[in-house]
Amino acid sequence: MSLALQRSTGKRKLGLAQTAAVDLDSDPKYNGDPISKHRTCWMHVAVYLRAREQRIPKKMFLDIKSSAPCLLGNFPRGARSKRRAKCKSRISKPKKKLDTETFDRYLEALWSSFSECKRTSFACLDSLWFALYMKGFSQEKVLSWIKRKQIFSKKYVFVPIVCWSHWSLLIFCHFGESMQSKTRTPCMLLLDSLEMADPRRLEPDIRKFVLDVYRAEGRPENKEMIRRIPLLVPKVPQQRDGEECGNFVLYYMNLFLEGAPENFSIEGYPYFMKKDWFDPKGLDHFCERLKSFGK
Amino acid sequence: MADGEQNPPANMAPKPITVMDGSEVYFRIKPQTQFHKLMNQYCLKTSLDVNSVTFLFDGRRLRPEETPEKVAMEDGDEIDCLLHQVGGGGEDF
Repeated sequence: MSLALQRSTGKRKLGLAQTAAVDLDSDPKYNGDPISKHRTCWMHVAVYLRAREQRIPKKMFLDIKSSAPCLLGNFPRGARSKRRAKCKSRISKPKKKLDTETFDRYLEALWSSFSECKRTSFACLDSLWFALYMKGFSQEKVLSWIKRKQIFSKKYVFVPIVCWSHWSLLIFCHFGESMQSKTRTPCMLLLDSLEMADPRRLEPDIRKFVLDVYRAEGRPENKEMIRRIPLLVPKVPQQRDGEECGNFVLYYMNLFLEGAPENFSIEGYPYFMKKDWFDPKGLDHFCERLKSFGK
Repeated sequence: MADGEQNPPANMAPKPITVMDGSEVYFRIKPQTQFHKLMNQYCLKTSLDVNSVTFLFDGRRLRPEETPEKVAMEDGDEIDCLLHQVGGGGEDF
């Protein structure tokens, strides 16, 4: 006999309280399951009523009992399906997010779709190089690889950055030109599709990187001059979810390759790199094109 | 590799692989052996998933079907092993 029954009998004999209490006494614990497992059956109602010391007509209670039978124990239960677990892991795996391998494959295809003469004034660094440089282990090596790209003879150099699970695009403009040049100003552009994450957080690393690149090349510019190279962060179209930034970076690159000015100067900035640079439709179309490069 | 050409089966070029964290693993590989063998072995040793890493030789990515001969690798050259980075929007880390 449960405590509730004793209490209720002590007060007043009532059909409902008795039914509920007696049944509860024999039922909810007999299969060893705590009452929290009985959320879907009449027992939970009974326990709730008892805890609140509420009463309902016996007929109503019997109705509840018949319409919400307890299935625990007398209904076959198997182990949790493995298929579900599999499915779960597949969902959590990033589908649309780009990893460096896919990015590289797309970029290679994209790069070769431009004409030879267009490509000569551009260079693109491998997406892993900056990440490797940031790790700090093989900086010397990375710098020697960059040296071979002869970035100081190019007008524009793309540096895809993947850092803290986010893609952004750094572009070196006219690095080979003199710092005083008005028409071809050496500068850096940082295009980021996630402005609210503050693209400038990368600035210290970028500055360090650029300084090392200049040094490795043996350029005459001194530290102060390199520090004063402007790092511009134009307001560019923003990603719509948490997965698109890789595609955005590729699209920025593609559009920049198509429309880069012959001479990039601070006066003309930001050129086409505005909030309404492209519409989502153009991006979707571009993504389709990327996918066709895939496999 | 000059020695390797004279006596290919006996003389194999050792290829040290440098890992990102600074630890090194050394491999001997024949000039004609495809890299996938080395990649699989390396991943087995270091408990890495072969699909989650990439191998850089002199800054360029090695393809599994390439051979040391093809990429003009010499005795004592280093290969870097890097984990693939994923970028979405920094939502989950």
